Amino acid sequence: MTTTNINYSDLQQEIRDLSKDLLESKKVNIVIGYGAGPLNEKPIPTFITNAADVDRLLYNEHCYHNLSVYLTKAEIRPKAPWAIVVKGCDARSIVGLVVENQIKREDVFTIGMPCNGVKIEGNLPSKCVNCTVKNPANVSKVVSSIKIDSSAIIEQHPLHQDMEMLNKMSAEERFQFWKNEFDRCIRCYACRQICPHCFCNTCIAEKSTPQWISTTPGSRGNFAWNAIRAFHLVGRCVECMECSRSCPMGIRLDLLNHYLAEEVKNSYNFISGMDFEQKPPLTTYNLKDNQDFIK
Amino acid sequence: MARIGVFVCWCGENIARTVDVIRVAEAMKSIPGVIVSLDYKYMCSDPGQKIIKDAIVNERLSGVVVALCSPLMHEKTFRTAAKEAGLNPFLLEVANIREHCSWVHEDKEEGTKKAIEITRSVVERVKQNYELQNITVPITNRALVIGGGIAGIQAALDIANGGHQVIMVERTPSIGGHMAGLSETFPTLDCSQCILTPRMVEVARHPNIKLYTYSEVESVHGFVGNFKIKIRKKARSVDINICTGCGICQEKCPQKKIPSEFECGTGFRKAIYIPFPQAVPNKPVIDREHCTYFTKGKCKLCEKVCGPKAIRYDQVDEYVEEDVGAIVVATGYEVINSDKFPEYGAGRFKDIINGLQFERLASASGPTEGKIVRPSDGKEPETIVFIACAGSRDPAKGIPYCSKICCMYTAKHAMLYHHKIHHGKAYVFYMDIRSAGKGYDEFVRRAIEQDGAIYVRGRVSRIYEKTINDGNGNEVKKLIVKGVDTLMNETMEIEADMVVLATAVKPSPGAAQLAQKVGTPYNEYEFFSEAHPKLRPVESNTAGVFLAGCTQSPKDIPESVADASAAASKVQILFSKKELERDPYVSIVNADKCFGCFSCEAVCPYRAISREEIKNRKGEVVRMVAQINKGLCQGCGGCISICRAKACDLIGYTDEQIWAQIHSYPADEAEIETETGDEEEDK
Repeated sequence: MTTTNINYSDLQQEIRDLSKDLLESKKVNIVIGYGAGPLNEKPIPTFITNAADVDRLLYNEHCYHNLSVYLTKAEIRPKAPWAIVVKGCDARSIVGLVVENQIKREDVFTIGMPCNGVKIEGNLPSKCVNCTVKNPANVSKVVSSIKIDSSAIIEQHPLHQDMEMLNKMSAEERFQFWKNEFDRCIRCYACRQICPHCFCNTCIAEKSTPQWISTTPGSRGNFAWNAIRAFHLVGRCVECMECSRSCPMGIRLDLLNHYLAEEVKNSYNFISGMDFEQKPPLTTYNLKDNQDFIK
Repeated sequence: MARIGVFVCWCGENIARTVDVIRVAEAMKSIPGVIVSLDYKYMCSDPGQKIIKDAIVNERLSGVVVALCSPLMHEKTFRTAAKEAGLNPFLLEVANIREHCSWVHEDKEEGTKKAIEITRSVVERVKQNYELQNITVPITNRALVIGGGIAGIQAALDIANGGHQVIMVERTPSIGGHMAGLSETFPTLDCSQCILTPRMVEVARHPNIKLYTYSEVESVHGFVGNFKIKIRKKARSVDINICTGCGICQEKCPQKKIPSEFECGTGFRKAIYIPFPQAVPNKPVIDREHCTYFTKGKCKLCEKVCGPKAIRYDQVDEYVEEDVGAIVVATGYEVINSDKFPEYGAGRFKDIINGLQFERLASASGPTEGKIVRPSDGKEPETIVFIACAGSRDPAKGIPYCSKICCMYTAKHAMLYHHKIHHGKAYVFYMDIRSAGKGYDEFVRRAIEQDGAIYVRGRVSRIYEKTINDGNGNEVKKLIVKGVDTLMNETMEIEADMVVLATAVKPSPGAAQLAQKVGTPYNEYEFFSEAHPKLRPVESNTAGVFLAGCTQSPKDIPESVADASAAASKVQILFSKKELERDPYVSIVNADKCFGCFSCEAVCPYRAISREEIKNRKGEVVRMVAQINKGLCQGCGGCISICRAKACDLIGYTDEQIWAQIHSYPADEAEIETETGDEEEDK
């Protein structure tokens, strides 16, 4: 049965029951989920290691964090096997991490949540419009038997107009647009810290011999940092948009990542995070690859 | 502190004309760390080299920059000189101020400025250089020859006679290749089998050659000197160690109407068969697709009649591994199918055959015992038409190249036809006669002048079948050949009894897959690419992989044999040393920074990257990192550009060296103005 209504208290109870089972049977050492935060209706990431604590887990439409970022953190990594609460979009990150050998597929138990869009500050974020993974794929278990009706596709993506604007610009104008965006960057690296795919031990921004990217906030270093991070994410980013949500300066990282994801889709017919067997297009070569860009 | 010597060359007028070399040498003196800076008319001359050697000794130089021609010209010369003076050769670098500067500029002022910048950048780079040693890799003195045709046989025999072991892998049940099926060979008309079969027997008997027939190369791993080959021995269904090759199984087999591969479809074979009487090894194989037992589950007649009980219905494919140091690829060719020619009936007309089929008809060991007859009714053809360039040199058919052998074998066919059917008429339609080679043009002239072949310069537009009355009241089927004689400028129509198409040569099926396994480039037609078309014709771009025969391009027998001997000599040059020495420019991985995404492994074209386990003190695997095999790495830098964490670096071209070089260039003033923050550059 397909529906658009979700009873969050049912889902929450199912997460708690499942987590209790997993912890008691020692199938996992830790459950990564959502729990009460300082503002009660907005949950924060929560880590449960004891079956008696499962009632701390919450679930509602404000659970927008992509929790998969924690799997590669030094504090969480040794606690494998893990269980993790994921929405369809977050599950794509997990696929990406497995494909890039960061985690073993058998180490992670993914609790998949049906999702009809989250609320950030009361608004539906752009990533939830035209979402194709409302019913999560590639997960260990989908919670509840609800099937979300995902046929309601809105014709135009919310970022469509911005994309059109970029396409109409000349190269110089586009350069100026992004320079203006990046000039605001204060180099807090929140975008990097929250990104599940920024898992390098040593980030290129911290390389000192030689120092390719100037660390001081300034036009040149800012441009280099943001452009290099964008290039590092091409064909890997799953557009969870956590970076643009966390950016304190409101830099249009959502537009940058969406633009590049569309480029990859059009050039290589590739969407990241959809299949455990996939190979990132920029590390593979196929004679039939689109080569229109070679002029 | 660095003690750098800079030596600027005039190259006569070559550099000095557009670069003020004295000013370049003078400018270098102000760079910190530069101890000497000189110019000289010809640095590469003996006195020029002596200046450098003396300076290295007297000034105790820690690095040398020579500003002159391209490093391709003289880097080796000057590095050898540095080595002789006691300096590690990799502490000397070339600043190219000729090809990159003086030769491409006219303005002396600008040229001088640029030469100063180029030289200064290399001085900064050399300050970051460190001592390097050439890499040595051990060599396994054993060769793999893929393909058992004449090229493979020649290569194998040459290497084996040179005292090295050879593994030969042949896909079909017998070695011999196409040459075993030919009738006579141009330009001497000696019998093909008579000259080939002794070589085949020699291969089988040679103590240094290990032969795998009915086998295929499954995978190739490793690198020059150290390849690991996995070979799949396909199930023959016969134990060839017990089988005596008596042939009774073949005689009794009830499956009689299977088109024979060896006869190119002009004859038949059984389901258990020895491909041809002179096959090596002379042991049968069961064709499981057609065998009654394998298709219907009953029969086993061959097992019943086999004296030594050698039949093995339950045999399965077997895998063996061999270590070799070099590979010779001699996989040969096939001809394109007649169904590619709708204008010539697309393979529907029985009396249109290809050149290889004609060879079998003309061969004394062929299905007709050397009688040239029409496949449709077994009658002697009174009029025969040969069409050269059937598919070759025809971009519309996707083959723009010349198949090279057709001109010669078509002349031979016309000649053989005349020798057997004296009153017959042979027409040859051709585009050009390409008969370059010793005795080749004389051979073609002989076909025309002595054997009466009628050469028509032009193409055939259409062939169709027509039943006509032969004048004696008999209905006969003729092939109507419509063509044009471009020299006479008139169209022609010939009532032929038989047509022979000299179909285009293309690489053996699976050539591209094999090239991918071996890891060597091939062209759009799947011919393997040579490292250099003139100077390295039998080497591939992959070190330790050599090419012989039609693997590379269409070739005749003499050329294939010459190729094979050349490849064999390259193999023996490689095997003449115990260790292989090569330059140290390979990639390295910093295991601390590597986070094991293995993007580098995916992009490496040389399969030089493997996965290494990092273990803790308890011996548990903590994480996996990339590891570079120095023998395989060619220093292309693919891994370095894909690595997001900058864990990969190229020895001799490290990030720091490149950085120092880039930062020696004066910054663009406009760029500095736009800078808002306090930049502190690492100079």
